[in-house]
Amino acid sequence: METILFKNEHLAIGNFGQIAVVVAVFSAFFSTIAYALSTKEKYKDILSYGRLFFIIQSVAVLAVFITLFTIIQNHYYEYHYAYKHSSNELPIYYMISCFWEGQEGSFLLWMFWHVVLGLILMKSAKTWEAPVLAIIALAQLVLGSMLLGIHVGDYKIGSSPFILLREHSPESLLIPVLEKIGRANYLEIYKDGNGLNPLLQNYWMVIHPPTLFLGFAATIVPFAFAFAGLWTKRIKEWTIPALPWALVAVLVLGTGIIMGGYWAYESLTFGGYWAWDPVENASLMPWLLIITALHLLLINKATGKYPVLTMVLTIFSFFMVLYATFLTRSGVLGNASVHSFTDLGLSGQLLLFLFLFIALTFALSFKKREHAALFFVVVFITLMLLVFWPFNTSMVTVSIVGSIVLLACTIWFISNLFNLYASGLENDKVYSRELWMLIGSMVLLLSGLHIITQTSIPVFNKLFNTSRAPRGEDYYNLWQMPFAVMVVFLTGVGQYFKYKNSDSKKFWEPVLTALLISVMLSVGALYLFKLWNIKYLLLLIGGIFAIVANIHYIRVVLKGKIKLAGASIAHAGFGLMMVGILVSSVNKKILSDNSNGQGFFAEKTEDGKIDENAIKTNRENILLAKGRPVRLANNTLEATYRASKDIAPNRYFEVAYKFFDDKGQLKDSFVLEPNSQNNPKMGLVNNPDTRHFLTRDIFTHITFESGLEKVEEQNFDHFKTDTVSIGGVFVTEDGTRQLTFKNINVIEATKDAKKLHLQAEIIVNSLGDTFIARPEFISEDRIRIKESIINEAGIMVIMDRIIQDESDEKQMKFIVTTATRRPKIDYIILKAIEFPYINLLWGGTLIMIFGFILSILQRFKEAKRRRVLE
Amino acid sequence: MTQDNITNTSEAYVPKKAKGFKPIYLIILVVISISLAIGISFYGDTSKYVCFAEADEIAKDRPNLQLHVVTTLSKTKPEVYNPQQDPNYYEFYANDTTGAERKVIYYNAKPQDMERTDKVVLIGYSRNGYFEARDILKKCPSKYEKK
Repeated sequence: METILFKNEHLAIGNFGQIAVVVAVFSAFFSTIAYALSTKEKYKDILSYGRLFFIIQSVAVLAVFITLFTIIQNHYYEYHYAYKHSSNELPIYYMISCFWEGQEGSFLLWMFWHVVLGLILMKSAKTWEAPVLAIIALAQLVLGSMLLGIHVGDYKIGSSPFILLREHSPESLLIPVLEKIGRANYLEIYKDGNGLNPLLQNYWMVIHPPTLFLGFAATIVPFAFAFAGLWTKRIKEWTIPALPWALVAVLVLGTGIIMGGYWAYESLTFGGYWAWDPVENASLMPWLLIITALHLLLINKATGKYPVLTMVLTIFSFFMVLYATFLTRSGVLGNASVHSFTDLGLSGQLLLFLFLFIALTFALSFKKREHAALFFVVVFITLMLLVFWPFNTSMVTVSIVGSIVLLACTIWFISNLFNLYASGLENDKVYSRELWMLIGSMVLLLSGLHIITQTSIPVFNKLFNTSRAPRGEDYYNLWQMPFAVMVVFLTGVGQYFKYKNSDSKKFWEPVLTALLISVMLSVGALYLFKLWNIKYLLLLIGGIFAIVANIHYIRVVLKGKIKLAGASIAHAGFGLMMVGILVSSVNKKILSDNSNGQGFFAEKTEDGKIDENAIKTNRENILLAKGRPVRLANNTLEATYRASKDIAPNRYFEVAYKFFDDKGQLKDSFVLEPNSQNNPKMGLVNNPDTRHFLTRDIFTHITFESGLEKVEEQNFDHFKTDTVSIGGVFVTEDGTRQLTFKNINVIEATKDAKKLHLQAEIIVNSLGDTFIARPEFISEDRIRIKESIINEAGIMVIMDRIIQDESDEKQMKFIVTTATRRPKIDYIILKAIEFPYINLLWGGTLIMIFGFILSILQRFKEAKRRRVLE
Repeated sequence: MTQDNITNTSEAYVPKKAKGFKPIYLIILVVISISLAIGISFYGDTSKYVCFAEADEIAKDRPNLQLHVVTTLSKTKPEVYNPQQDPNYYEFYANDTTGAERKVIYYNAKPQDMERTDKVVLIGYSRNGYFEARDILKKCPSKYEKK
């Protein structure tokens, strides 16, 4: 094949980026080795090399980051990543979103946060630096390898963000136009990129992914301390530095999840903030584990109890991050999720990532180094062999063997830990805080376990060749509700217990008081929220109890010292969140409910039947014709579609809402402007608009509009001819449109009467609307007529002839023909939902986040003080 | 946090031999039984990925079990969405993985962007002569796609 010298490409920057990736991978490798060696006393001096390589690695990752951003920012469409994810018209802040729309960019984001965390720990971890940084460098090595894009035999190692468009898709050079201008000039065609999915063009999409990935990245820190504890035989001390970092992970990951929910609520059309989609669950699973681990770390710090469970949970919360990464990026979710990443064929590498860390961690639980090494080699090779199984055995057999190996190793690991800690089962007093915190943690763990098993259904399907489908929202809600009830009650009582043992009277007095107040408040809440369903009563009382009991604790026990009240504030916020979720989802109301099954035009369907099922089903969309108010929600709401306007690339629909109270008095009136973007590359995307009130939100989006209708123009039918004089009134053949011949205007009349050009003015009344038809009549050499068509009224008016009245010669008469078809109206199909008291949810979230921040400040201060004491 | 958990932490914890009832046994028992319940629920009555013929079979005994059918949209048969007549009626034809074709009715507005999709997962019920979809999951092959 001849070599073509392609013009206008910017190859240097891509090569630079590619080299930076390789440098990052190699320096991460050397940093891992150097740090790992320096954990041994005799190689202590090597530590500085570990640091050096980690810093080189950090610089290289930053270089890759900046290079990729420059490529996107400068629209270098010769690069596949820029072509696929960005476009010319995108504003700068969405360029940032383009960056992490693809898998490669989001891996980079993850690596970037590891760099930040690694550098902080390099400064602050002191005696823990070597083993902790070794683990982070190892993670960087594996993550970096995902960006390599090297082919080894049939296997692809990583997917490079710097691959050229023409390398990624050679067919891009084969389009016919290029034959004319020459393939070397191919970039003249690729002048604009594919663009960012319109749904991601939202300010929350600029900050939600970085927050979420910082949360994911932060889980490695408590894990690294646990790992380092096993490695350097400091199995009791590791919890102290790990605790504040576990709090950081809980805070950041939790905030990231909530931001994702808020984004979904603001910019997606499914009408809610959480849909139990596998990708959403994949972010919740590690969070539930890390918050469980956090509570165990707290117990362990105060009492030294449950060391094995503490370690296992801390370690598994990081494994869960790796597993979630596998779920969302390997393509395994396939049919189960509507928004997983595109499969890049990295599933083997992602599994290697997971199993490498599992095998390493498990191996460290052996007391003797030789046993550990042997265990690691055998288990890791076995697992890798099973993942890349080269022989022709049935997949199910391989999967069963793999599952047994993993399960056996986990049990082995846990029993090793019990040996290591020489620990048996603890003896807790009933009135001890640790017992009740443990119970609460177990509830959270079980809740997580339930979500994990259900979300893993596609994985089970793949492994065991079954065809189970994922469950719907109702199923998740049914299972998660009892867990939520238990958690809110426990968050209320937990702090009133003291560690070890407490005075039962001192416990019951405040708790019963809080409970009594909560029950009374709940009665009020039932009226306020109109929550007339006994099913939800326990969660309502529990949520309110969590708020009341924690506020009482801050006032009475902590004497209002807010600095110490992080946990209580976070717990109260969680209680409020639960009340908000309950009220806003139970009383969520479809305002555009159209259950009567009537169409806008009462024309008969083709077979003249109305489907019984259709009427029974909840029908959530209504048609709004332009300018015609429609009454909804038992006459309490009037919605009017007023106008549409095009602001490229969006079309906005102005919908006026008027709310009335029971007596018919106007309560609120406001205008919402949902829009739709008909993106030539991404297709049609509808965006909602929401009006926020203190006690409710009105959410609305269009589902269809008249402009999208592809119905062929109907032919005119029902012709009828009338003879009228000025002022005459007549109707069309079907009687639905009434016409008034108002006037006749002379447009042109030559003196010799050779040319006469007349235009009639006929008022058309159609279904309550008035239009003016202006048919024309021209008499020159021959007679010509010009019909007048009004699409909105579905009418054609023709002035055929003009005759003189027989009785009165001065009076003219006009022969007018009318024909009709179905009116073409400007309309939108709209869905409107009311979310009552959803601000309780967002308010609760903010309070919880505030509580976490207070706790983090407090815990870091404490850890520092302890270090000074040491 | 309270005073009591700031103090007395670093001293090594020595587990004591317990006498009599340990609450921890109860906790372990409850945790194990709920885990079992989760497992049983996993293997219990669950929706399945089926083809249209299997959906018909299942619907005979259990008309209320929601089913998932992986389909491709029929390019030849016309779809029906006539919002002026009924904005909540969308009808189209789809082929399952075995190639069998079936009329699908969705009592909702036509999902945006159906033209650009070919593979959809239908979630719903097999009815007499048609499949009633309660939900339509579109899979667009080339992008990070939200509902």
